Amino acid sequence: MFFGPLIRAKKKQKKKEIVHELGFQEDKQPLERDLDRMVDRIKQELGNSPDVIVRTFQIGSSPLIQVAAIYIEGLTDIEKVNDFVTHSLLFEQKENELPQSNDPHCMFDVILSRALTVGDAKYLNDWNVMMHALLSGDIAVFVDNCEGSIIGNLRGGERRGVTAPETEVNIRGPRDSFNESIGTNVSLIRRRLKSPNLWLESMRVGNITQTDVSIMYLKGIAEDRLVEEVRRRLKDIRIDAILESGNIEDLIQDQTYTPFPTIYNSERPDVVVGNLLEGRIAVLVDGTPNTLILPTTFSQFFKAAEDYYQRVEFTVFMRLIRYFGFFVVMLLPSMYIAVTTHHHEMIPTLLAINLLAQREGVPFPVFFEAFLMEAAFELMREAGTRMPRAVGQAVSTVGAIVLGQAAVEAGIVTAMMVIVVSFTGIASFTLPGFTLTTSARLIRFPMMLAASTFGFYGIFMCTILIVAHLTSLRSFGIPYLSPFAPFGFKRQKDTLWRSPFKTPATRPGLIGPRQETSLQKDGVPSSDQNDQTSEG
Amino acid sequence: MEKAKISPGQLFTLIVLFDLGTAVLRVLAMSAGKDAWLAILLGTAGGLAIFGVYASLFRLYPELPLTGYIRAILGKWIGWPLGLLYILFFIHGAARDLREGGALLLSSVMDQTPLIVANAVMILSIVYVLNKGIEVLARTGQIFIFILAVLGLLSIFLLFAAGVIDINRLLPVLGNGLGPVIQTTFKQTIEFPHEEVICFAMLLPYLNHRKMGIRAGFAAVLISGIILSFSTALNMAVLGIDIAGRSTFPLLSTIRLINIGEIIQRLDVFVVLTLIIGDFFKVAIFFYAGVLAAADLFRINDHRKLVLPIGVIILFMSMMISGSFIEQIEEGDVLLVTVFLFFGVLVPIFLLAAAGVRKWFGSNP
Repeated sequence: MFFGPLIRAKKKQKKKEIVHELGFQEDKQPLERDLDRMVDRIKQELGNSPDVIVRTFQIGSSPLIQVAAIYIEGLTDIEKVNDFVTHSLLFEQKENELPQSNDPHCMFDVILSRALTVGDAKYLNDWNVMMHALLSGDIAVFVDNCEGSIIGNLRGGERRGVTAPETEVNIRGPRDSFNESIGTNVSLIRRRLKSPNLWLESMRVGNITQTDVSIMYLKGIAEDRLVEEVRRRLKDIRIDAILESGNIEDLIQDQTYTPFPTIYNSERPDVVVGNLLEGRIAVLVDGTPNTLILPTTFSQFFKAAEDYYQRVEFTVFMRLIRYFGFFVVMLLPSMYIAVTTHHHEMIPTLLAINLLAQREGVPFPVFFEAFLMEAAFELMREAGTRMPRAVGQAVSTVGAIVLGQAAVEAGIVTAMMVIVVSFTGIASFTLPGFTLTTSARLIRFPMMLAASTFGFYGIFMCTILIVAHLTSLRSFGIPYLSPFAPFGFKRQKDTLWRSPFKTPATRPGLIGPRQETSLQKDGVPSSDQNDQTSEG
Repeated sequence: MEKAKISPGQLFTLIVLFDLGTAVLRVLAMSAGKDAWLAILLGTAGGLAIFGVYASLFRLYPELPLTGYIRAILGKWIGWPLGLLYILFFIHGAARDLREGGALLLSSVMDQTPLIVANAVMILSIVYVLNKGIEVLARTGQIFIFILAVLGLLSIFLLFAAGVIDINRLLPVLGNGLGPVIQTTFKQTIEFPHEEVICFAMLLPYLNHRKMGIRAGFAAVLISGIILSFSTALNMAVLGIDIAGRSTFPLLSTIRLINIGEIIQRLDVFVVLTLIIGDFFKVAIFFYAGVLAAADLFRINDHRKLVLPIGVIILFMSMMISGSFIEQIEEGDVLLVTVFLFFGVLVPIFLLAAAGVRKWFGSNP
């Protein structure tokens, strides 16, 4: 069960075993001893790019020692270079003599221990690693006639600051969100979770991009097997470029072809921290604010960060609204089609007369009318996302008037259809986990087709198929629909209902170990078997 | 055999869905008149005994499905052909229920649709789910039994609220004496739906907790019997015995009577949903039992290969099985005390006896 996807992943790997020529080589190469040759080689390797800055100077007194500092403009903080490298090597060393040494390594030790004021600096004698550091924004210091280099972390350059979240908005709760720098993102999480058990693992993914990817989890709460599995899947990735966490998601998810997202993503540190505390694992990717959270269950998409800050009663109410919203998006247009084309007898008489009167003169069948309007709505939504800010006003005005009033007045569509479509549209914005809404939006169209051909029968058969598909999904071995199916009565504390924190039984549920994500030997969640008595 | 496992709770769910399946839509045991509900309750006791037989066989051969232990008990030469007959029995059962569900569906909501189209949609959906395996079927069942429970409780509440229940229609209890009740019990209610539970003899080896699983099975038979009895009594109390007896789809007629202040009315969709879900699981389990039996007999490792071919057979069989819905029901009553009785009760009892004898002789050589 659990290993099925793994075996498949291995098969895929074989196909991808085409090592790209542009990628970084793995083997270790020592650096040049001669400074000029060293500098030339670096310049040559980077194609004489003008943003590679080489600063050469001499330190010591007798004899003078040739030193070169190399960094890349824009990636390294120039002010820091001036303060901590140039200044400290040139000025402060004038007074006290540097001890001489013929040992090639020794010179670096002296510089490291007595001259350089950079906090995070280390000696390195490996061409690939050095190039890597250089391209990541570190500064490299070379000394003539000495083999090796000193790598100092002076990464800087322009970055977006920590701003309020743009997609996951809330009323109560923290206002910070991740940005594109993985360092900042890690610190945002660490700042909230001052536990020594918060472990961080880093790796590079992508042959060319060499993107930093980090796994974060709470040791002791997150299942070790799960961490191992995530690590393994990340290591198995063979691809040239990772540009966003979506690439990673695509490569490590359990099932590729499904309309449903099996990995949650969030740009809110508090959401990530909450999930870490439940034993989940966060995968942070450099260059994107969207952090992956796994394993993911269906109910997670209905939980907003705010749910844990607001009153319980309100939270439960809002969750019901969200579930309702999801079903509205998926089913409302098709229900309307089914009722109006197949099941007239189910509409109360007065309403039926009203609807019939509206439909008089409308030239299209209900399905076509609904399809037209839903497609128009999707168009508007896409336009709204992509269009330049400046023309936003125009599009929304045109959209509202053309699609709403004018279409009805022209007799192309009924007013009821406009109501149904706009209700569906509004409902699609209710889910906190936005990725799930897209699934509902996609499914809506086949659903409408089924409704127009088979009425309620079609809708229900589609629903059964979707539920069956959902139950067959797994996210890192965890059944997607748990704790609904397989059902666990004890695990219903944070699904539709959220029990208050005061309830003694609940507290371990939120911070205790191995609550929802515990795995047994064969990858079936243990609660599947432990909660036998409460099932059914 | 698939490596998947189902939990006792999931077995419970599947048995309840299977028992209610098509049965809850109809008024059973009409020959007992007003005491039909009593006959169904008595029948449930018989149903528990029948399940007891299956459970004992399962305890003797916990690793084997029905077709497996038939061969173990009776030997290859009798066991294999008997197993073959069981495949036909399961396929036939699936086809009958598919036909019945399709016919009810067409008569209630989709009078323009050809039967084969409705049945094809159903069977293709089942093929999809069975391809995903027993675990997916069981979990899907857990979701839908919840929906059914909510719909059922809501309907009962609304029926009471609408004031259409007249308990006097059920009185007097035992007006014609115990005779007709006992007769109906033996003729109909023990057999239907309990002897069809033989399908689960194919599924029991998938249980992850045997002891709890058997208990859950008994509980499921008992509870579905009580629900059936209650729903029959409810239908009669609402419609009266005449209409309830003549109607092809009494549950629909009952629910249609709900009308509270012109606001809550026309809840037909509840019944349609019940029909579709019930029929889906009933056909799916018969179908799956047939697939497993065929895979076991013909030694096919990946039983999924058989799902689509058998599905097509079931589809065409459901079209040819009878000329009309009335014929189907009439035929069903005859089959119930012949074919179903043979495969569902007599053979298992015989098997148990044979196994007992074998064991007795085995231990005292």
